Amino acid sequence: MIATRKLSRRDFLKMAGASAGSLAAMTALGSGFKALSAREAQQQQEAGSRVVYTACVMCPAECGLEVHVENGVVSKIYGNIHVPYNSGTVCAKGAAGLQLVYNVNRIKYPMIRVGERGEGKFKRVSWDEALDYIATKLIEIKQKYGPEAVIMDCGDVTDRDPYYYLFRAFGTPHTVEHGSICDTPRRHGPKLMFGGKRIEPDIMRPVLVRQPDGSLKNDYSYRTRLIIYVGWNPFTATRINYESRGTVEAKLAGARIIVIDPAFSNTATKADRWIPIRPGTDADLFAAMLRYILENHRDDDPFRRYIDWSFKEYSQGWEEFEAAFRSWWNKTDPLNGLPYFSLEWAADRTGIDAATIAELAHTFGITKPAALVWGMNGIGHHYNGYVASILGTVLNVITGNMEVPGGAIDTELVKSSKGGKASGGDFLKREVTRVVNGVEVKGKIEELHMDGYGDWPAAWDDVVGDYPRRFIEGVTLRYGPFRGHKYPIKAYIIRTGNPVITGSNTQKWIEALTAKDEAGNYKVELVVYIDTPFLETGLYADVILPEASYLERMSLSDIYPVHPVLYLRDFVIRPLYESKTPYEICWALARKLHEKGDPDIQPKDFWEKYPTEEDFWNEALKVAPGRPNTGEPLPYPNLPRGYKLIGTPDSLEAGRVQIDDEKKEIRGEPLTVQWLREHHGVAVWPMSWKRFHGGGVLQTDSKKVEFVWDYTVEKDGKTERKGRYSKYNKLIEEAGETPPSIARLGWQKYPSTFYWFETRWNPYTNPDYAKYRDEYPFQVISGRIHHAMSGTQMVDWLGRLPTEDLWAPLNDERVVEEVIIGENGPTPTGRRVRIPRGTWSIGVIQMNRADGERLGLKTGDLVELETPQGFKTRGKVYLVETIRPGVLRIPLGGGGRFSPGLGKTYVFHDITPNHNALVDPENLSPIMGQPAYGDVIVKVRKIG
Amino acid sequence: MEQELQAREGLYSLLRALFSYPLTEPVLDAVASLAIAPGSPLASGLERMQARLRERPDRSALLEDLNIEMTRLMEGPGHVPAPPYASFYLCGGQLMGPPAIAARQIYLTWQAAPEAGWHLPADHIALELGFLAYLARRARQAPDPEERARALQASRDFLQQHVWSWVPRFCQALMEASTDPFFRGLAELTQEAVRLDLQWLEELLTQDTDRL
Repeated sequence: MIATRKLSRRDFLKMAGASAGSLAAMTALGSGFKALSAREAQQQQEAGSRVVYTACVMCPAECGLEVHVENGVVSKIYGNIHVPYNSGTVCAKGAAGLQLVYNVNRIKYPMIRVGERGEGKFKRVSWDEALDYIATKLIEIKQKYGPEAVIMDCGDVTDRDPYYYLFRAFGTPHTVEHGSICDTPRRHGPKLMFGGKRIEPDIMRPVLVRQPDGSLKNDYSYRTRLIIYVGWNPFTATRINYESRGTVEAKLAGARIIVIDPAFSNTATKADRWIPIRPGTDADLFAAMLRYILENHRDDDPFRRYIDWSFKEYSQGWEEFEAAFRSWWNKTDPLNGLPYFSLEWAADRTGIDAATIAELAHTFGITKPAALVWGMNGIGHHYNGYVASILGTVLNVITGNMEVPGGAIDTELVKSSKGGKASGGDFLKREVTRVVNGVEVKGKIEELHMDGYGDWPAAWDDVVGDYPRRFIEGVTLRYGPFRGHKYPIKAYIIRTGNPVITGSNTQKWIEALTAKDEAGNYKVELVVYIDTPFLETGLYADVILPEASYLERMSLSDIYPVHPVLYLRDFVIRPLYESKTPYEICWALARKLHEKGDPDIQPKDFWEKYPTEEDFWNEALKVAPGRPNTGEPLPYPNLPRGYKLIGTPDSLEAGRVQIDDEKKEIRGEPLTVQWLREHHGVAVWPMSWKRFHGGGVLQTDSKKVEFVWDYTVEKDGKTERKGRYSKYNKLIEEAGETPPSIARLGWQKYPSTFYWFETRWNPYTNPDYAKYRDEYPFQVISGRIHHAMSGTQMVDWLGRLPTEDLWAPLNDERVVEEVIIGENGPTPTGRRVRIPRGTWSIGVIQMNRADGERLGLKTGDLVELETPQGFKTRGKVYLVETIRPGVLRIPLGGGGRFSPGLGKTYVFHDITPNHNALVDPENLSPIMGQPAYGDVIVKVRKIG
Repeated sequence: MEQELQAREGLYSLLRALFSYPLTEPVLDAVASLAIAPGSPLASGLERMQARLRERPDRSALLEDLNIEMTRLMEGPGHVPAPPYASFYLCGGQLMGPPAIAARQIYLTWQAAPEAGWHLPADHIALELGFLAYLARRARQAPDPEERARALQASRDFLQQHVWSWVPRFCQALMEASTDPFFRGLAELTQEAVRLDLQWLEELLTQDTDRL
């Protein structure tokens, strides 16, 4: 305590020796306040209340919000009823957003590191100093190694465009998003076969639909009869808001819900059936379902008419695919001796009995409309997730469920376009010269990509999966014009992401970010961390920049709707402290780079072209919705069918358009920020179905669903290579070198149709790992926790709530500051109090009760998990009946959190498990290079 | 009286500057040159700060150390051991609560606004102390006793209702979190200055009104 002394007030301020001079010096320091006129003071009052329509980012679902501001302070967060994606709803996370924006632990000022990386010692600096530091380093790196030595990781929210724009202009091909290290195997089937990304059930409601009388009406009907969720838990994964309420509504309307997941997830609690599959065997299940359907389909039997042959009208290559698939049927699995894809084979591997698999295949085949949907923590996280994703896509297509009302929709193909020139894609086409093995070579910037032209030629969409290894080993390009070009990775800029905890192996990341050369300098010379919360990766940064929180910045949002819907993220309040918006950060850094002589950054591309933030986002809106006028019912019957639609919904509706027959474009009045503000923050264009059926939404070479991915066509007497894999195979053929990632599978190049390979670290399906079965008897999978994703655990309201047996009140006793409910709500009293054991939620290890009892464990016991490679983590076990025996589930990003910026979650970091501490950093899935987070086996040892 | 009013303005200006990042040479000079009668409640804290200045004569190295420590204590990143915001102490650890709204309204009632704009919550320690310096100047420069009394009453009310309710807790947090004598001294100096000024104002405004 600070002692207070009694003294006469007469002695107060008796500055005995204070000269007039020193007093004047003190006064000269100033009050920091200026006098206003009465009018100015009145103008600056923020009295009263207002409402702003915006978009959430408490999780990447980015729901539409209606935010209330009172006296200049955000007071309430509701869902925006005008955004059909969430239709006025908001979840607990969204409603808790105030605790993030006004969190004491948020990053408030630019900082520069003063200790070693990882030590967490920083000095607050001005923006000018911080940007000067970054710009100087970037230019040095560019001059010495080329701009390709810089990676700009733009994180997991949709408003990345300013960062893309700046760094593409700077000249690096490595402008990436979190998806690279999230779930690329899961997306592979739709990408390969549709040019899309994500198949979701048609349960977003309401949808705006053209009526027979020409009017538009919101349709609230749920037509789905069956949804099968495989390793996908929309009730907690919170990426797609409408799937949680839509699943319940669909069920009430008569749909059957089946959840296939090793753990009894929140979604499973509402399902008609839960099937606890063995981890990493989703492809096995899908293959058996497909074989069953092919073997048992009968055109003439309505009870076995599984296949809807109309899919052949809008697809090509089925015969080749089917033949390749069938060619496996006569082979036997070396591990169980059973024929591939047979029911018995799948039963042995998945742990689901053969009758159930048959019933599942039959039910899916016979029930229409239906949707087979798979998720990131399952298929997205396994080495062979690609195979499962392809098979799942095929099952949806051949049963006739794609694009029918109540069926399955690839949302990537039908959402509104956005970004356009504001994404900076044109910069990647610039020609550059490099000296390779003494020879001057020309090529495009994009052809310098470390993965796409390095070890992972199929790493499309700018995916950069193979880090942090490249930080340590450097890059050697194998393909394209720059074949043989070597360069190191010297700068890593991470924005709204936390790869140290949620990308590849934690220790490997730390090793990469702290590795030094012989001279004692960090090998990665510049690490910049840009965000609102301060997470673990920030501890390894040289510079920290405070990004404005989601209620303090502008951008656009459109997460996986079933038809074009685009909404605005708007300024609810101005950025607090010294935080800046992405646009402000990028433009300020661009000015610095320009001042320092970077020839690639020119005023005409930045502040002269887009002088205000609104100008920039208006550019991004110019391409919306950018989808064809197609499907049934036709969105705009008065406009030409098949033409691309551009412009505001009202201008298209009223026919205030220009029709370009040459380009097949219909151009209405461009969508703008102002238009969105005048329309509750959202633009909604009409929904239609059957958009694959000659509708022009498919993005493949043939504009059809493709079951073959490297084929030739004759055109004007010439033979052309087509198909998604053909581009990569051409690179491989030109170089005469097979990528090591697929050479390991025994391939020379990417297969032209169906392929099969096993996942890794699975002793039950892959003979290479069968030897570990006894010593390492547990498979480890991860689950997402609704209330506590990586970046929001600093929010106490969310942190303390239990979730799905993964986040449970198993804390040990700790002493923290006491809080009481005072006049202004919860109030710390200044006293320190005990958090009694078992009253605060923390990340735990979910384990089947029978397994626990066999090992002599009880709930709350501290255990250590260890992989065959010696990777370890520790945590408390939570024994339940609701997980498959032999499986452990850990919240991804839910434990071992060692950033003090996380509040109370940090307090318990020593007794909570970090899933990614166990991940094999070399186990990168072979097509796109993403870490296979779900391929982990461990033994369990009690330690407390 | 004039001298006391001038001293108040100087002291609050100094304290404001001591909580405004970054610390600069003129601020440390002012600390070094300040003399307070021995035995004054303010002397102990000040002495700790001045001892720190004497012990590290290399001023720029000292400034670097102090600014790094100040960053850790009050600026971030991440965990902030001594958050310099009233709302943190009065509103369950959350910022921008009713104290921040009220502070802004009071500043504007007095036609005063932070020179740097409103990007900091208005209940930040540097703003509250700066506003007291602003009011002290208004009192010192008041054209008549009524205006002076009004400014001093406002100072007392602001201290009573908005500053004293949390500053001791903040100073306590600062004292506990820092191992640097400069900030421990600053915690002590700040708490005592606020306490004594409040006492001084109360006595002046209730018993010694003739001195106005």
